[in-house]
Amino acid sequence: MTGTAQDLLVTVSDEYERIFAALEPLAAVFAGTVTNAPGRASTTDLAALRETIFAVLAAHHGLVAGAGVITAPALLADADYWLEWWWTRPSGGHEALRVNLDPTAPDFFEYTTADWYATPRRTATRHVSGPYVDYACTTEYATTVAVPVYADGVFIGVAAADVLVSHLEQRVLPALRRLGHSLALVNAAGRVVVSASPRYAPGELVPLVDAHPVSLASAVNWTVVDTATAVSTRS
Amino acid sequence: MAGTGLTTATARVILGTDDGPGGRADQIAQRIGRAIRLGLMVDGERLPPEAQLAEQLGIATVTLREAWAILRERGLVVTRRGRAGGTFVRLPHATEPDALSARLRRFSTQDIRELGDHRRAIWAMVAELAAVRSLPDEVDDLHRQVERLRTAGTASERRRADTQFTIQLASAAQSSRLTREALSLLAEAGDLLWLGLSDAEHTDAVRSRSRLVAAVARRQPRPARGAAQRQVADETRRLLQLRLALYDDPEGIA
Repeated sequence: MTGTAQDLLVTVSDEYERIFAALEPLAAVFAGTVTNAPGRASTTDLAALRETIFAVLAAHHGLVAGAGVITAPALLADADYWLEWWWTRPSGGHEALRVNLDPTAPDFFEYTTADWYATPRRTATRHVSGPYVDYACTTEYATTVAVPVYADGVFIGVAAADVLVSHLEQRVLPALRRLGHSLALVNAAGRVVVSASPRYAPGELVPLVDAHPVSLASAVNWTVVDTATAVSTRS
Repeated sequence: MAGTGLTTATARVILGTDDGPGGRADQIAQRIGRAIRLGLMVDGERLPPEAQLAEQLGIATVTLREAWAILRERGLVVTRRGRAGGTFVRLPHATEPDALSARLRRFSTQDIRELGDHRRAIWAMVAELAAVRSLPDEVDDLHRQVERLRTAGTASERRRADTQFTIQLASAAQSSRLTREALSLLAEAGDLLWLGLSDAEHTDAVRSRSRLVAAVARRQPRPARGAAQRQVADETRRLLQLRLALYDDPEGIA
């Protein structure tokens, strides 16, 4: 069973690798825009990224719900905080995410502490965050795929995409059920992403007996656990 | 983009949860009124230009104009001409204490008790699930939001900070549906809860939320549930007190 659990993780990992690959051109255009701007780049300059963002949304329709870049504080000349972020409405069509970016406001969207921003920044590597309730945008249960972006060696923000858990489930659950009815795909903290067992559902925490679940996928730090024993399935 | 237009969260409250066509002017007006009561749109806030807002909400400009007319009539927006002109949110309660009483008079004491029961049921479950399901970074967000509430000075700011706190706790419970439900219930009472609050009452409100977050941080579902129930019970009792006092003053504004 363990070998096939690994196969499943490879499949999940492959899905995410495709999204990471799609973020590469976006990160490149973001870095290029910042580098080539005369003086500091502005929010107007970042509008040039939209074509690339829409291409990511179109190429991964049904899996990626939203995508864009989030700037490091004080990067831009005309905005301390900024997101060039677009999402696909359930009825189709792209819409820009609007959040309150005034740090003094009681509903300030403080993204610098969000896992999908802080972790790629701190670790200087790509990261899959969540699942969590994406209350600012879709209100759906989502994971975020994020890569740090640098211009001339300086961190300028992250390029990212949202994958809804319901979309992932469609692709993962048939194979997970075939592997075993007590298995669940959980993130590093033990939060269920997809579960084949009725005892656990997405968002619930599985007590991880094994304090160090084996990371079987390179960027996706998730593992398959047997909820009957709540012990990580090792390779 | 960010910085212009309504936030996506506010637009969602106005549009409802279905992503369908915009709806009629009276529905739009009612939902904009809801967003104002939630504190998502604050007193004096200038609304985005007509064409932009109509596009964001996916409704015809003419429908939006009709909605403005309804809201003007209810005194919830004002339109000013000229260079600094535009349409602005106007919270009558913020300037006219009598308007708060007028709104409260529309609730019977039984209505207030019912709303309290419903809020308590939802909020207690939100707290319980958050205590079981949240991770440390979500707890950190909750602590930060309680701090924002503590430092919020005006009724508008407090209401907006509390709305945000509600969203974050329900998100920590990992539930989109409970997030929407808790917000919807808050919209019914939001302005009444935060207006005319003394500084001492505000301190109490912050303290009760701190207790709730502390229980969530300790991963104790029962105390979290208890703290949530007490919070809503206290708020409900205060509303009942205010409502009952209006019966002592029958000459007051109807």
